Order: sequence, then C-alpha cells, then structure tokens
Amino acid sequence: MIEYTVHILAAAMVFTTVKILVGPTVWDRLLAFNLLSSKLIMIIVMCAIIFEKHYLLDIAITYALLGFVSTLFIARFVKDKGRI
Amino acid sequence: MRELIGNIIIGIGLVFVLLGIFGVYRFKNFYSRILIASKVDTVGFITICAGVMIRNGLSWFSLKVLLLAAVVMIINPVVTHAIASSAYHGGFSLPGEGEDAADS
Repeated sequence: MIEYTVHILAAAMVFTTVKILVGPTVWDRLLAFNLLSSKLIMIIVMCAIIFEKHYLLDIAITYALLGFVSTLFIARFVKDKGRI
Repeated sequence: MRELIGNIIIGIGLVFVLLGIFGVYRFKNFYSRILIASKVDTVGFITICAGVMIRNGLSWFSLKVLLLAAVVMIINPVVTHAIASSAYHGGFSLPGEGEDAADS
C-alpha cells in the first residue's frame, strides 16, 4: 500500500514539473514549485515508514523550512522586479 | 485493524493531492489556481500525516510527524499569501486573463 502511494506521488510530481515548465507567468511556476516541494516532503515521510528510519523525518522538517524560506524570498524578489 | 484504517486515511489524502494537481490544470484564472492548489494541498498533507500517525500508534515517530504537520500547517498558507501578494503588487498582467475570469 505505502509503495503504491510513493508511485502515485511520483506521478503527481511529474505533472507538477510539467506545470513548472509550461506555466505562463513566473508566479505560476512559483506555485507549482511550492506544490512540488510539498509532494517531495510526502515522499520522504513515506520512505521513513518503509525503511523505518526516524532521521528521515528530521530531514523532512528541515526541507520544509528551507523550502519556506526560499519560496518566500523568491516571491519578494519578483515583487520588486529584481531590485533588492 | 489500525494499519487498515491508517491506509484508508492515507488514500483519502492522496485523492485530495491529486485533486489539487487537477485543479492547477483546470482553472484558467491565476487566482482560482492559487486558491485551489494551496487549500487542497494543505488539506491533503494534513490528512496524510493523520493517516501516518494512526498507522504508527503512540510513539516518537508519530510525535515527529505531528511536528511536521504543525510546521506545514503554519508555513503553507504563509507561502501562498506571499505568492498571491507578489502577483497582486508586482504588476500581474497576462493578455486575455480578464476575459477568461468570467468564463471559468
């Protein structure tokens, strides 16, 4: 069951990557990147269940916080049209 | 029994996630897209985390998953607000976007 969940999430990541490639504006790409990192966190949690390793969850929390910071600052950067 | 209930709840969360992916392709207006994607994705993540916690019982593993769910529950709406605010204040203009908003 959990292995099939990983496969379905990987297929969803493929569609999200297509959305990043074809998105009309930069904000569409940013939104799709947010969805992609969320799917990746779910896959890390599923791998933590499959391999029964606790430290993978620490990696997932760290990845969530780093994705938060990166997306927030890219959004601020785009809002000011490249002027820092 | 507990494992079966957890698997069913994880499946429900997976349906939410796939609906979010479908909604990103379905809607023509940007603000509809950002609404459906952020809401459905946050709900799907919380549902999947609840299924994992039910599946593993009361342990340190479940506590870490609860911490992860709390972190995502705070930061995902903040990121969505940042993207929408950036699009609104940063000159969001796309040819034909105004007419499509009435259709979709």
